[in-house]
Amino acid sequence: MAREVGVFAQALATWRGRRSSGRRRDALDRRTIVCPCHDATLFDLRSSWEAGYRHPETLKRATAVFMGPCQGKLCGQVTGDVIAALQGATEPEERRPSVRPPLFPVRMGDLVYEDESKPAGGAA
Amino acid sequence: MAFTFEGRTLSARPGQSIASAILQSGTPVLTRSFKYRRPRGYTCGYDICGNCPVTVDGLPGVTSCTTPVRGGEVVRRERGWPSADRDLLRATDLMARFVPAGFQFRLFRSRPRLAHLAEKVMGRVAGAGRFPTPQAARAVRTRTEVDVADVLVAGGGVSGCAAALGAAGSGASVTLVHPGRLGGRGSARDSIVTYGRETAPAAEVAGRLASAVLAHDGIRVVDGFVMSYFETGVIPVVADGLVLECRPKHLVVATGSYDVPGLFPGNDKPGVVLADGVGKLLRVDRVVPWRRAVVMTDGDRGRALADQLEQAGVEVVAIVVQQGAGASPEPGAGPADRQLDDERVLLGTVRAARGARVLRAVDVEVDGRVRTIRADLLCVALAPRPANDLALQRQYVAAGTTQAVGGGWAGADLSSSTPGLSVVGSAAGWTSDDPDRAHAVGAAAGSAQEK
Amino acid sequence: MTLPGVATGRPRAGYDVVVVGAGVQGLATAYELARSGVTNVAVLDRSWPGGGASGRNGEMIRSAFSSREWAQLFDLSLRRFSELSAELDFNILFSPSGYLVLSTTDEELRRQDLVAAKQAEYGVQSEVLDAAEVRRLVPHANPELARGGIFQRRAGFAHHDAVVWGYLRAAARAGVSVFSGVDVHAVLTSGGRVTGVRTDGGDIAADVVVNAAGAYSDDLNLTADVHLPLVKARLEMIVTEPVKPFLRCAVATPHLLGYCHQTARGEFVGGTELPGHDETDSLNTTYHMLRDMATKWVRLFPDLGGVRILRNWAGTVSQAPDLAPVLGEAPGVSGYHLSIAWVYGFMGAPAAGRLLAESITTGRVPDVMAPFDARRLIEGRSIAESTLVVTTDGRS
Repeated sequence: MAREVGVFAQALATWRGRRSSGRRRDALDRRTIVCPCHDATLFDLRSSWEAGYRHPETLKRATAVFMGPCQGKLCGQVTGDVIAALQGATEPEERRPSVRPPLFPVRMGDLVYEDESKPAGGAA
Repeated sequence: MAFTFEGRTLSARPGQSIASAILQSGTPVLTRSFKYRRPRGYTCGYDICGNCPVTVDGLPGVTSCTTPVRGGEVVRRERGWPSADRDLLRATDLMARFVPAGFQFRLFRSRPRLAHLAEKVMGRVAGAGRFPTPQAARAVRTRTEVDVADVLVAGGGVSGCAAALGAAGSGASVTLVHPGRLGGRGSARDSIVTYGRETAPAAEVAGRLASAVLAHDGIRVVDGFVMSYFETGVIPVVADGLVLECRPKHLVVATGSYDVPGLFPGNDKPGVVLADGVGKLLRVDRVVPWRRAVVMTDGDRGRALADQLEQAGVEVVAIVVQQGAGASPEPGAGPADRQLDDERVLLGTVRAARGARVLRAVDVEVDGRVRTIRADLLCVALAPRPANDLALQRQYVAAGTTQAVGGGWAGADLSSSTPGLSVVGSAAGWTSDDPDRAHAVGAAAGSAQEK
Repeated sequence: MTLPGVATGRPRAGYDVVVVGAGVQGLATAYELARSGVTNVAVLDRSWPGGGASGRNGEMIRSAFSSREWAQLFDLSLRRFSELSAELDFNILFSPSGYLVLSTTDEELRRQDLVAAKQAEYGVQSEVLDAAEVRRLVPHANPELARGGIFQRRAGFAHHDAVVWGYLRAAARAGVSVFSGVDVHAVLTSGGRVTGVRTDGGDIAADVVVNAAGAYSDDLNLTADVHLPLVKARLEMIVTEPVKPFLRCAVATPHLLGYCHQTARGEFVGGTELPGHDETDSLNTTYHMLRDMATKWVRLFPDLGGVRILRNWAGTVSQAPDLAPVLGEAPGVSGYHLSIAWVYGFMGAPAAGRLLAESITTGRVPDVMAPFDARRLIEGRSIAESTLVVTTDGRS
């Protein structure tokens, strides 16, 4: 469990340590990227949270974290830590957004049934 | 081997990744970010960050950090106008304060025509690869094969290989799936590992385990990745030109861990690289594109990375041991205290990564004062988190819904007894390599199938 | 709180109207009720608003259907979609990029003139396209499958989450209380009248209860002794990584049972359905379905084979034998209103919310809504619509 506390501390330290507030803090959080896939920033997460998107699933939809090519591999932990920090807990109260297939992006052509007569287009 | 990169001919050793060859040629920017067109470079080394897609022979979205150079291919970066190096649309980054998440829901809400126009502009501007060329698209072809192995091991690192040997040793038929060369992140680690009667650095043990797996008749090794765990128990594996439909009686998840990024302004700049990415570049790709490094860590990992960097000729100017949020560790217990004898160690906090296009310096706060340290690498070596995605999917199906499974964050308990599932190694949250234990788990899974 | 506009406290002991389900149907109905002056309304959802099919659908909108009933209901919706951003003060990202229903078979080609003529008669403007015109509109489509089509220019797609959020915020501003995390176990009735609902936090009294519970609407009906021939179905979708724009309009293909569009961000989003799929509550996706989708989409857009799928998800619906929604008061229980059996629920919600609110507040059933009454299912009548991209094969 020590490790979660350590990472969670990262989120808190980011804010506490700065001793800055308001505009200065916003400016710093805008340049702190949580989700590189969609350029969702720490500011995006915090302000969406403050606006009321307070569930991991709704925060995901509001900021597009978990929704890029990484599907949460990179942003998932940090997002969880930020949510936890905002909740004042060490882990978010709600479960993480579900892990959807595929685990890594797959080219559509890689999933085509080779026997074209088989299933597709059978509706005619 | 040689390939063409935006008109230039670059060379690479067999097995070297496309990204590492581009980096070696002195090009640190691999792509531009989606919304703000921020420059992005090599970051994770294991296809977890989305910062390195390139177009190869007309096929967009090729992960250059995990794709080896084949020889003869034509590689282009995909985003940035006129180029990824100098992107005029970078200006959107300067407008970041006007376009936070959700801005589109407020924009032009009473002007539908303008809203639609804005949307069309966004579609053109958004960083995305081109639609594949017909030749490239048609080359993506697959055949499907059914795999009948009793045990499927996902991941061929130290733990996965050991588990596969354990399962095969007890008579089960085993398929082991791993993207690229066997050995995993362990191949880049120096920590001392015990396996059977042998005690050696992880990299050596990984190599020996890999050879044993490859030599074993009862283990089929597939270069690919597990796509997902689906209802009805099918686990498709995607390999080059092949989809393998596995329906194992037992699944061993040995998918390792994901690096956790740092949270500070500029944390996405080319030159800010996660620990596994640094290890892989140095030890697997054998490319050293840096001179001066700052290592950021929250534990023992930083020092190991610093040593590897120095062995490779990179000057490590500081190891920043992140100071947490108030709760000071027990005296004498924390890694910081153990490292105090190292003059490179700073007990502080990384406050920012600086540099207009790529990393030039790191701001570190020590005792309330911020120092700017010049560096072209900031190695982020925080405690990784388990790569538990596949195990979670297995549990969703066991529970009958994606809604019912609790937690799922880093601390999720994956040891709970889902029949037909074992999780080993760092995917299970083990904090150090323990091939003996993984071997035992594999042996138990294998012998259960015999009866 | 799970979303802006969601109430923070617990529900009171009674409301004038209780809406079960904070999906797009429930929220649109609550919003329209509040607009017509009924503001003592609670919307109850066991999860977060929009967490069911409202946030899992294909986002597509059209009114060019072949039957009068469908065309008129969905044309009202389409008109509402084009005014919603201004009205809700929230950009729902409605994109009137056009909606093409492809003709592939000889039969479909023969019928397309007739269908368009009927649509004109219902007041829905559409254009019949030949192979060359379809080719210009969707140049990447396989000409063997894109042989013709019916194109509705002012149709398109909108952002499904934004529609839910927009309705939610506007309803909350107008005085409606929306609660998430409240599980409704039963509809309470007495002497043929609805009296309220039973929740995990106690009973809530109401003279009017609206069932907008999506996939779970049939379970709720049973607690009120309302029996309709509904079955659960799972629909699945995929989204790819973003690529530069290659698909200008929304496309549906009845031949492949699929529908797709490319978002403003550049992602290709497509859904298909397998005939005779399972009846289930599961939101997990299925392997065979994923491969079938990939096969179909690569057949239609061959170059899509080189684009990576990022994500695959499922949603569940509860559907009627004729795939048309059930709208209006439940047979035998006065005060218990239904907005259920939706398969095209996202695109129908703006109309359904308005019509249902009107019938609740005035006691008169609007003409456009009347054909969708539940009695049709009990009496074995069905609404015949031929341009759907879902099927009942093997279901009922």
